[in-house]
Amino acid sequence: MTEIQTYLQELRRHLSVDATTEEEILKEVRSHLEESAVALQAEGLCVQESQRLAIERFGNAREVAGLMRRVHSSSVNEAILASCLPVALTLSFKWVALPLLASIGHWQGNPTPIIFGALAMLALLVPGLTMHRWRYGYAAWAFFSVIAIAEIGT
Amino acid sequence: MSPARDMRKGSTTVLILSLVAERPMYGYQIAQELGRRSDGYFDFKEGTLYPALHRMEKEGLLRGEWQIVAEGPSRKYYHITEKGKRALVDVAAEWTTFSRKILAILENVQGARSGTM
Repeated sequence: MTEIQTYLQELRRHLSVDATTEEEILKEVRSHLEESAVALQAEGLCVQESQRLAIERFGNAREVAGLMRRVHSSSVNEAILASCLPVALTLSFKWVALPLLASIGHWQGNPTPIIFGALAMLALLVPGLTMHRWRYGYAAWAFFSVIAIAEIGT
Repeated sequence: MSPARDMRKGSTTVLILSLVAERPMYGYQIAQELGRRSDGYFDFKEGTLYPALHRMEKEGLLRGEWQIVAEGPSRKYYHITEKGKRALVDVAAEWTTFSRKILAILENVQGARSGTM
């Protein structure tokens, strides 16, 4: 394994961003380090030395990953916020909208779980369709979905 | 952090915008240009450039575009956006005012120092 590959592995370990962003960052850093190493080889350095110096000039992998994480963390936060949407919609529908409708229309009947289920599924689609890039968002989305579905059953 | 390093850090946005305003550039090229034009004064750790580029891309100041290179790895070229151009005008004006004011104060300090000699 080359020095650059080892560096990229370390960078990947500390990144903690979604898969697409991670891939793009690694591709960009690899491109930078390879070009830097080639330029240093043209100055007379051997392959290993050129890669080592290119990495040294680039900076500590953990620090770079930390700065990158800070820039891209907003995507994860957005994903987590979006993942709350289904449960918020379902609960507000169950506890606010329906009782309001019932009081206005003097309607006392219980809506069927099928209606709740259909509305919850529609609500789940919103973040589900927009969050395909966010693995953390998906995990949170799945968690809140389970809560939402469990709440429908009660 | 030293005052010089602090100042350099604060100037990253204006430096990147002014370089990319000339022509689309990729990360390595930006790092090289900054080092060359400042005689090594802006010779920072190159890896710190990318978080700044990504932040500016997220803010809509830059637009990144991958280009396949015949020999070697693909490069992500950064283009300045209309929003970036407007931001450059504002930030450049701010830096000009800032540096003028600092120089005016420093001239007084130097004047006072030479008066005591």
